[in-house]
Amino acid sequence: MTDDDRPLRVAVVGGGCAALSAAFELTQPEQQGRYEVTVYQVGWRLGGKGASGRGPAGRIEEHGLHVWMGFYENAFRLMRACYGALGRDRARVPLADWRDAFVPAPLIAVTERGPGDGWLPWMAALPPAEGLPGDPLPPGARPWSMLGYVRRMAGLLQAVFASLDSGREPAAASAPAPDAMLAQLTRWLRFGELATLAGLSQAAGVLDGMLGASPRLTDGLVSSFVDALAANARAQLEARAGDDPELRRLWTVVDLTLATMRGIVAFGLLTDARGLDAIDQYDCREWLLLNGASRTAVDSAYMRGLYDLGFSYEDGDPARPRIAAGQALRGLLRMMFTYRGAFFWKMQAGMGDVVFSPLYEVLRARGVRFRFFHRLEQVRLAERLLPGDTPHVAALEFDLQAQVARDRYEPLVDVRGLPCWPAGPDWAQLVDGELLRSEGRCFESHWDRRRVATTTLRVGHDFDFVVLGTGIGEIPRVAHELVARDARWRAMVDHVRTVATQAFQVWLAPDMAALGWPHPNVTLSGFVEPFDTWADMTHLVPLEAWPAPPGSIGYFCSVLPELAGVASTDPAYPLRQRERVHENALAFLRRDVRHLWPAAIGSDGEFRWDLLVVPPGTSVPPTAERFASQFWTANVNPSDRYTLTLPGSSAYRISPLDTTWDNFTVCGDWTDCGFNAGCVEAAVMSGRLAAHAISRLPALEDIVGFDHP
Amino acid sequence: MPDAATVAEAGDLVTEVLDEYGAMTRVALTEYLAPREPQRHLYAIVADYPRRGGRMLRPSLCLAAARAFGASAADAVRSAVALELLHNAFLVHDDVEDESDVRRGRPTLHALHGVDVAVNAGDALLLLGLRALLDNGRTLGPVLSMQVLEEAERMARESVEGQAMELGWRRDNAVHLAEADYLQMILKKTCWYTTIFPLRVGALIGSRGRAPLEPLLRFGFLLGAAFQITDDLLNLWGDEVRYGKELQGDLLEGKRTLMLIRLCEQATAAERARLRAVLATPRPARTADDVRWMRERMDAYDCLTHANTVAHALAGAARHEFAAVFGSLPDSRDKRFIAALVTWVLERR
Amino acid sequence: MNRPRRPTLPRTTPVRTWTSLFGAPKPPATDGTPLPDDDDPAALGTVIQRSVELAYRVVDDYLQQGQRAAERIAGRSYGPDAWVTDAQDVSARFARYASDAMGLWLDALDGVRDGRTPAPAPAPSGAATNGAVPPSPPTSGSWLVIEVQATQSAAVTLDLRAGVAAGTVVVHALRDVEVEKPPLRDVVVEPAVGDGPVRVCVRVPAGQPAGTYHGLIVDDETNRPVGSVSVRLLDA
Repeated sequence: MTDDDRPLRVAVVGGGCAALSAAFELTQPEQQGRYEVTVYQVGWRLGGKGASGRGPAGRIEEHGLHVWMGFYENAFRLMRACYGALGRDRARVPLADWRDAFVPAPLIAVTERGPGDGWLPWMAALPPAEGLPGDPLPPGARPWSMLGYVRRMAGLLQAVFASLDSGREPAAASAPAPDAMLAQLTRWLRFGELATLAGLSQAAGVLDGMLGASPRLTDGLVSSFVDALAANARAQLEARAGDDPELRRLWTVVDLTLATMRGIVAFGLLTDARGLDAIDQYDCREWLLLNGASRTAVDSAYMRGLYDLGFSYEDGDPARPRIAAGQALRGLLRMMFTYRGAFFWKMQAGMGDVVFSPLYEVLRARGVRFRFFHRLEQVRLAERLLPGDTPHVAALEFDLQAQVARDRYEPLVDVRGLPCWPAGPDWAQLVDGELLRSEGRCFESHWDRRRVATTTLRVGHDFDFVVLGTGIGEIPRVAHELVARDARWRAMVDHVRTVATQAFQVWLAPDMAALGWPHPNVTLSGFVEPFDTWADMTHLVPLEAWPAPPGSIGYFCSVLPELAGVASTDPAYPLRQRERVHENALAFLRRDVRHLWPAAIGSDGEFRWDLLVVPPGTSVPPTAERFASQFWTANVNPSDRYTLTLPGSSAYRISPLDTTWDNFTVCGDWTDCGFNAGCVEAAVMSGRLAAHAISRLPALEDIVGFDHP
Repeated sequence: MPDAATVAEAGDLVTEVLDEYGAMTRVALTEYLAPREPQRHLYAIVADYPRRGGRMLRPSLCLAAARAFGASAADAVRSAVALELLHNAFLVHDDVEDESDVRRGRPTLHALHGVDVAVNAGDALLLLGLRALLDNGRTLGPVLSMQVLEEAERMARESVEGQAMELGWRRDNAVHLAEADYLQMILKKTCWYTTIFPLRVGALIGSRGRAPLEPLLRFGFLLGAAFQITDDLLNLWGDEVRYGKELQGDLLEGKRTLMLIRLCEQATAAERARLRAVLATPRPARTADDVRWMRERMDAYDCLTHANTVAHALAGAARHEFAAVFGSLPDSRDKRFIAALVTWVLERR
Repeated sequence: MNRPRRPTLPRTTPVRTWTSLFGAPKPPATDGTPLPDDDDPAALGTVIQRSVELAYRVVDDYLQQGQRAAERIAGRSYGPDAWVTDAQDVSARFARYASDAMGLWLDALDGVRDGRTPAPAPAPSGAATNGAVPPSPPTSGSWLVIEVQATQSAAVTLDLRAGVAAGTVVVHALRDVEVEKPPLRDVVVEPAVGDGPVRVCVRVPAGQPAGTYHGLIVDDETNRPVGSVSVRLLDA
């Protein structure tokens, strides 16, 4: 038994979203100070894959593009609680409230091939939805059921068909009695009444009513009905679409929706106790094809955009798009039907500034200790167990990358009144800082193993519990005992795969309109390789510290394909990859960006390098050389690599609730956390689960979406 | 809640349909039980149980389901016969297994002829049942008969697995079973052949293979579970004449009923130890005192009341599922019969 | 050292089934079904709800397994020939299950009657080997060997109850499901010589119809079945 008065010491390794949300939950007021948390962080800043830093001219430098989706209930709860606890003075600090830090961005866009070699943006503004993300849900409410989703889709179809039928109002959605419905259905099927748009619309209404009345009665009937609906809708829309791109897009959406509905019914997902995991062996496109989606629809810009958002390319290979159907569908359904406020939310500064400095400040105020420059080297398991003892972690071995000169490292800098993370360490706070700097120490590089000391934490002496929150890429290195001893861990590191990503940012003198992009604040995916995703980040200009502010900012990102035969053990590997990204960015600006920014191309057909804004004190000629003054990154560190959700891989993930090791748990978007995709929401869910594993708080029912089908 | 009159009417309807479909099945049965060479002697024994009567619940359920889904009785009658034959095969085997002495008011087959003759007769009944299903090919066509046959194969497999579960418990003298274990066991051992299989085969035939079968599994399971629990209760509180089986026989056998599982859950450690000891004793060595004690403890912990409540709850759920399966079918006497069965399984004495 | 440990968790996996389970328009009603009287309506409600939930869980878990089975079966089409072959297969499997069930019963019977704990029942053996095997080598149990002599291809499956001591046995005639087919009556049992096995020789007459023939092996002393043998004959 432990002494009741002594707080339990929790070592949290890693400082990304997952680790910090675990720390946040363990120090919530309801925990009544039972846990004393110390966070161990490699290098000088928190944030993991979400870390950002302020570079020259106070400009924001990110790992990539981070957008928050309107269904990120757990992540928004965390942020709202954090900003609430922060209590910033609106008069002194910009971004005092979470509503200042996150702004709705309803516009989604994908790109599709236009005439000739052109690309056309395909944009939609999604209507605002009721409530705000992170609003408390009514007690016991489960806003989602598979049936609910299918009915929403039926409703969607009804609206689409009705709108096409020269503005006729959708038929009343009231459900006829089952008997009447059946009769009506038979009539539809028999007399081909589906062959008119009005028929289609009404049929969708009937489908909805039918599902509402008796979902189980009619599985076979629903399938054949959806098939009939699809066949007729295809004939109708294809006949009308002709060359009308808008109708073709609509048909794509209808086609995918019908296939999804049919698949949900045909695969018994309405009642399967595994929820959508039941179809996780399939790739999403493959599953849609199985359920009657057309080739055109699964290859559409819409699907490409979806895959791009999740970097869903095995080994980063654009020719191998793969994502587990169950999780993809879970993501898609939540994305489309459960967002609150807006579809996207955009951060109003760097992710470090918006997310991690507030978390750092709140956790500091709660007494959480932060140990920077600690690189985990090994998780040691108890070798021999005394009778009655159970398997546990005995020690954590760290390399110390630098000694902090004073009793603690102050990591934040002030940029225009906002506490921010710098893009590099503050050498002045480090013992022999100048020397370390001159040696070019790269604290965040996996390939720079230099250290100044080592330190070992022991169970009982330094910690009671461990939360391992590093990226999965680091697991084989830092937890090789676990991997060697536990077949499940071995299987996990074999099957849960990651992919390197690449990103670049440009600051330009003209505004977007002058570059030839007329639409506001867009996030666009499904574009070409090497950079398939673009976001207009011009809104960040006022938060940076430019003497002469740029007119626009663009962020681009994509997967970074693995190169065959290139060993990541080569010390020159990270630099080579950085050079690759540099080349990719130049090629992209020269060749592809014209489809988005036609006015950024000069009369000689070359990108106008003179448009790039250079930080003060730098002087570069207006040639391609000038790109060197912009920002780009190859995210190749194991812990920076993006977690994929390949078909069949979820079964190998280990849950933060796994009870094998009695003082140890894990978190990260690579764990089995109920939303197994690489994103902030998954990371936060896993962190909350890790806290639950240690303290039974928060209740699982409060981890929104953990019980989602 | 339905009033007493409705319950009584439902009971009348059940009796009426059971009589009618029972008679229809019996006529068809004679074709299969007619003595033939060279096994004249065996056939007499084989035909013994089916001739003793019985409620004909399974064939009636099959015929009613087939008709409710739109088939004629003629299409389903061979399957109904098969069900009755299989049921009797199971009874013969069950009686051997349980060492029961009385079946439908007369000595059991093994008591009359010895174990291996009885087992042989049981086997012959199984094979005759299979034969009847193969004969379906003539009237139902290959696709549908194959589906029916596959259902039968599945039923046989499920029953064996259920049997294995239960026997495993007895062999290991399990006293730490949970209600979920019990439900799982009867799903396989009882419900498949008592309710699920007849319903599914009926629906297959009636809908020419088009009806979704999954909902029938739910309904069949809930109905069958309510039936089995009530059956076990009747063994404890019924009287021998009406039930036609030895009173308290289940206790004597140490059969893992819901009541016994409940007792194991509720008992004190000391009581559980005694229970284990009693259950470990070979049956002939079990005394009337042991049985009385078990029954008395069951009463002390309200195990019978509990089981009765569970049976009612499951019947309630069955009624709910009934609407999901049959709700869309046109009204018919067969549909009403199946609905009434839900109440009847609880109310019969 | 008394290390603090992680607490026991109420559950460690998501519950993904309830919402969809009760996603139907109304929760499972117990109305319309007479309920027994009980003093404590609240406790009664709990029992009812719990048992219904339990029952749904059991059947849902089960349905999942069924779904997988169904996926295998789905999508076949039957011509007249396929029907015959498949029907034979299924019949054979059915007969196997029947025999497995019998075996289990017998095992249990032994245990109950003698008051001893019998050895665990053998796992139900698989369906008869597909394809033909030559009449030799014999199929053997530990102490019993079956030899089939036939002019056509035959597959033999022997299923002996575990824990049955070697002894003198009688083997009944082997019968097919189709009662019209003549049974295989020419079964000779050669008693064990020294430490050797008991040999059972089944002779199949020429022109025997194809099918699966099934016979009991009975202990001569106790007159109790100790196993079964199946011979599947293919067309000559």
